[in-house]
Amino acid sequence: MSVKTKFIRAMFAMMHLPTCEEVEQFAYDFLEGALDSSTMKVVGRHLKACKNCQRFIAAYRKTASLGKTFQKPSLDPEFKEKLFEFLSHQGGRP
Amino acid sequence: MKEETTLLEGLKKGMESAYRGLVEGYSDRLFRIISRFVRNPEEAKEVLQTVFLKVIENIQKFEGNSSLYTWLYRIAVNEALMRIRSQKPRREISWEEVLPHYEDGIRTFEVPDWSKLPDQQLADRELQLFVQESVAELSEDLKAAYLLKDVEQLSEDEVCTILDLTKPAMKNRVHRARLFLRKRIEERYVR
Repeated sequence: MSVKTKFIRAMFAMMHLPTCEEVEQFAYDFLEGALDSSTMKVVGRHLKACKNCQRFIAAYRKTASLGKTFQKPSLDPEFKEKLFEFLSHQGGRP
Repeated sequence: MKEETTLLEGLKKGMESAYRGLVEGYSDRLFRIISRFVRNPEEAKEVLQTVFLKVIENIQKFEGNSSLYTWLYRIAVNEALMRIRSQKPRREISWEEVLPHYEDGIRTFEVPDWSKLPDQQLADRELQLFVQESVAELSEDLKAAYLLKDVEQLSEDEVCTILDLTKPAMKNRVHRARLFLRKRIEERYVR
């Protein structure tokens, strides 16, 4: 472990803050606003102190929101009519 | 809810008006989720037809433990997964490459922030296609969770019911799918 990593690790421990790895594990609930208030607070404090985690959370948030931009394919009315005929035929079978 | 009950009763009695209601009310939404897995539109239509066939074959057994809509989604996701299973095997993802690296819990590499790319670029058709291609690389369990939660925007409870998962398991799958996609986009647009 490098001196820098040791220093950062010790700093987070001294401030009673989660590690970067723990912040990643909280990311889903952090985005959903589902963390309890004390965890939310310490994650927030970690993010203020850690640029890497700030950037990680920003990109993670964006990734989650990209799903909304997916195209929404729809069916043509002719196929819906065929489906209805198919169901009527199948449904009438003994 | 009342409409759903009426539709359900009609389907159980084999009424044509109920079949019409099923097609009008649910075919677009089901086609959409099937198309997320089965990307060829003609194949997706075949899967949808199979889904509706299963619905009328099994409607008498449906006891209403979940909403009709959730039950339909469950059948659609299962059928879509069965269809893609029969296709060529996907390439295995190496999680070592995708998951963030830590040294004693601390990030040791600088994280690039592609979320600051101009919105126009992020909404770009090329990026959308790239993300959709990347989703296709996910394993079945991660793909299903991601598509239902982040693409279809269903609630956590709905996703858990459809995929028969506990909430922690569902969250874990969505999280891992996001980590994978985040890394893929980073590799493509930042480095």
